[in-house]
Amino acid sequence: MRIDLQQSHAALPASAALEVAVLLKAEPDATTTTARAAAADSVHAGLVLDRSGSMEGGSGVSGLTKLEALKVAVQAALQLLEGCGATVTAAAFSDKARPLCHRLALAPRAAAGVAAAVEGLAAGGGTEAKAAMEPVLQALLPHDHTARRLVLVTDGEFNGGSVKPCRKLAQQAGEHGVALWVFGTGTSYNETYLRELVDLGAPGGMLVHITDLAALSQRLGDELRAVASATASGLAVVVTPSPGVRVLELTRLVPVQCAVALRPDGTAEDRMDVLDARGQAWVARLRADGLAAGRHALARWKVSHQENGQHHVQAFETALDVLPAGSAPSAANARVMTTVLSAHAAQATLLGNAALATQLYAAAGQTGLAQKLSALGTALPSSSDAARALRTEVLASTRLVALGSALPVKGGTP
Amino acid sequence: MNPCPSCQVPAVPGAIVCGGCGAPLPQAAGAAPCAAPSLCVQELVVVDGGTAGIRLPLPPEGTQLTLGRHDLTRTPPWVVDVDLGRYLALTAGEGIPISRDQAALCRRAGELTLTPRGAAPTLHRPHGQPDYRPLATGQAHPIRPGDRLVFGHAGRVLVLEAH
Repeated sequence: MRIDLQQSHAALPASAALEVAVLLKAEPDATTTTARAAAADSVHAGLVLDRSGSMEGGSGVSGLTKLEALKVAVQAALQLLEGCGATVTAAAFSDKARPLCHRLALAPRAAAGVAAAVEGLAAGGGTEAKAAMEPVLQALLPHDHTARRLVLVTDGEFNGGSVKPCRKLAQQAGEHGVALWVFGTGTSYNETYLRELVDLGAPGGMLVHITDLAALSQRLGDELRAVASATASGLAVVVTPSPGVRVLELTRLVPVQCAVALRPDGTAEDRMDVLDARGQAWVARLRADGLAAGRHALARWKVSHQENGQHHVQAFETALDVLPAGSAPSAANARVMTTVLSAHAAQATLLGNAALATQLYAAAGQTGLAQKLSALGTALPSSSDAARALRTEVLASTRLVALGSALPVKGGTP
Repeated sequence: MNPCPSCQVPAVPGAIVCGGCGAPLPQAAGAAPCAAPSLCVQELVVVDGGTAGIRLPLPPEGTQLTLGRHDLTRTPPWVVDVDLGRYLALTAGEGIPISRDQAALCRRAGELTLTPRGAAPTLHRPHGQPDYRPLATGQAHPIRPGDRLVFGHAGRVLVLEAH
């Protein structure tokens, strides 16, 4: 695993307060192959599939109902998981659960039975999600796989009897290191509630709005591949600010943007079960008060992970040269600046502040997203299909800015 | 400290967004535009194996194009968005060394990605690196300006460069 630490400025003129943004990237080492094989054997996917009556509706794909499109996506996911020797637990739900498989190790051709069970699903009944979520989560709880994901696909608002229990189940998932991937389609599901479930789960979760269920197969496949191809596991990042320095925020960017809670002592820590094959990135903003001219350590970063059966720990320091007041600052690192702008724009989008988000994306040079926001305008906070799709897009887009490799590294202090 | 142009709260030196209103501060707005466009591929150009300088169509934001070759003898007929065979310089009777469903070209959040899908190899050489390497089938790979892509078999290949 390669670590790259970049900061927005290497030197700033003295002032009562100074701010520095830091981008930490962890990327798979292309030469590592043995760890990839080990990690691939260690994926346990728990599928929780909605087969309620509303899944009988049109999917947006010609001639397919939502349930039929879901079956296509699940069959593709099973093939992919079979190819990497993953373990699968699956259950569908309507008024009650229908178990499909339990902790099934997908050796070659072992997925056929599950595939047939999925194919036999019929739509009808209510959205009693807890009925399937509970047994699937119980199967995921043992810490016997490196990466454990509960994958929930739904198109509707849960029945009243499922709302609180599913919240408790999500919390339990978080306590046991199981991340939730929730795929919602249509405009009936409760986006705020499902986002809350994802946040209660372990780091690495996400809520993805699927406009066209034909895209579910691609998106689910992308995410499963990224986890199944992981080359490192047990990734932990700890940021410890120096005296007089505060961590204003720490944001994880992969698989989707998510704020990391700061500890009461001012440090910040984040843990991921595996290093996503696309890489991982965090962006932080540090604020220092009352620094005199000279070189100052702003924060220490400790990054640890497991790779090739060995535990690795690396330490880095973010330092700043404080120049005499009135001096010109050093050149800004464009990638760090753009990442911060994009992260704030995504956050503003999520909060429904279209004007601010548009302004931030325009400053970041992301004109495509700025135009989409402008087009939505005051409809941004709505639960329309377009607004939900945009919220999904922006939360996944910041990592593309952060992990891009087109710009030279400036001002890094590894 | 200069004030934020939006809310007039004094801006902390080094800050990228205003602590008062969240708006981008002038230094951020000045520094950033050089970043995003450089991540964004504007065109794919033939540099070898066909007529040099010809540009391939690229997908608009949020869409995908299938690269491959048409095959109307199939049932149903197989038609792709971009027929790579058209761009290759081939002699009469020579087979097209491209899979029908060679790859998917997708643009999400401004970034161009290529997902190989066919049996024929797809090679990639990142900008500034000396060697080509085969791209894994079924995985989306980001394409950056300066990268090169190769489709084809043996000596009959189409080489594209991203700009």
